Amino acid sequence: MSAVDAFDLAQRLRAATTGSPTPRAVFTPCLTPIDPVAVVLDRDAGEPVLHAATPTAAATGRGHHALAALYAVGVRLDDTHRTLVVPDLATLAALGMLAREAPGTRGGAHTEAAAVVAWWDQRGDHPGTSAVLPVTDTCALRWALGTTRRAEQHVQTWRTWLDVSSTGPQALLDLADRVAEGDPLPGLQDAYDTDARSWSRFRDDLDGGRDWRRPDSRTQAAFGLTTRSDATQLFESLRLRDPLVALRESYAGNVVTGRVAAIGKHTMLVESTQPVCRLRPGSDVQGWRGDAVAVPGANDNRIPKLTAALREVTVSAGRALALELGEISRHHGTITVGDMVTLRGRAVDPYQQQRARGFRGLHYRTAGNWMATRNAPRGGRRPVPLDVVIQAADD
Amino acid sequence: MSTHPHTPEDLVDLVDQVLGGLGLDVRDAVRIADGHPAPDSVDSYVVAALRAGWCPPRHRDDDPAVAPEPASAPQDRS
Repeated sequence: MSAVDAFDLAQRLRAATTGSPTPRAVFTPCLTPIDPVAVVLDRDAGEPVLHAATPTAAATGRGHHALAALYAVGVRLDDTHRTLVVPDLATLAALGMLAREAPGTRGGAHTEAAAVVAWWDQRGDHPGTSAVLPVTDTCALRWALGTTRRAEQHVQTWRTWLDVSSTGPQALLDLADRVAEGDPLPGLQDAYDTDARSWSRFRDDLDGGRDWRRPDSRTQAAFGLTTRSDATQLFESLRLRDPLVALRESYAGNVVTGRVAAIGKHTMLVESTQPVCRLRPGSDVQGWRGDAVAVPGANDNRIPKLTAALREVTVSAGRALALELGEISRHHGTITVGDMVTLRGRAVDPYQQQRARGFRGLHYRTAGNWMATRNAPRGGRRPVPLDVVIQAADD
Repeated sequence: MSTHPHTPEDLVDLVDQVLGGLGLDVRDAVRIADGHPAPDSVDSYVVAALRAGWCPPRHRDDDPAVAPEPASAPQDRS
């Protein structure tokens, strides 16, 4: 049994004992929904039945005409994008399939709604997006309930625990309001800007005659994978700015708290009694003075911070972890021997990701790159780090 | 101290999965999380994780008594 299992279990026990959800995060893990549209898709009957609602309108569509319900509540290729609120990402995938199967009459109600669904479908693969809010997943990032993880996958469970009396798509809108209450995760606003740019490009492409049903080219597919991967890494990195998430991750080993045992000119030795450390030697780390929940805000200069390279992790005779840091930043200020410090992987920089995507784009189009040709890629092998192999085996 | 939790059966199953190997049940887990001494068979890091998850810092700030009030009558809400 791992320590993080015990941590998660305790949160559920607390919720069961108090009868209230236990917070798993201080900040809201999503942005405030933008002009939201909620959708419930009933697939139990022979044909799909789509129930759509906004705060001011509701409609139902069936079978091949199911997407007409979205058009009826005002889903259009407007100037600004809207937030789709769904129970989970499986519903979004089913909606995407409906869109691909919808009648393709140009300019029809189905066509416009289907195009918007297609955009939502691809944005849904980008964690932190402002375009799609999967209610059960987002609620589970914010609270733990006194029940199992499986039960948390049902909207009914959240309605009961959060005292939401409405039903159908209106319940999704109410739950979305509840989960988005409060301060959003710092840095998440960038996701809105990315979505806005994506929406603008999507509309421009359609105006230029592009058919969204046409499969991506190799280059587009490669870019799609990159943006999805970048979004996932960025969201996971941003989540560590939340004190409660950082606390949990300290039991998973992705955040390590310990005492400074020695400081050299450019080095630091940190000893920790944590049972596990998942920070990889050779990787860049950052940290702050204090425990995991003392995580400072990006512009908070009251808490001394440091950046460094993790050189080595060893286990001492007393079973303590010893983390040897090199290249420590000079602005760690007043951190001294005996201080408690907390370390995590270096935060992902969204601007650096953007620049890297630009360089990749140039590379994809370079003559000789297999993506620019019709040829199949040549296979290649390279060593895989042991911890990646172990993680893959666990998964 | 809330030492008599009323928990849904599936949560009991969850406790069995996580702590069953240590011979602990729901009541033991809650008592340890509440701050009661743990049996020697339970590693200190498990105890620390249970207590940290049970009572996150936000709760410590909000609630000087640290431990939550016992629920009036939690029902099976799953």
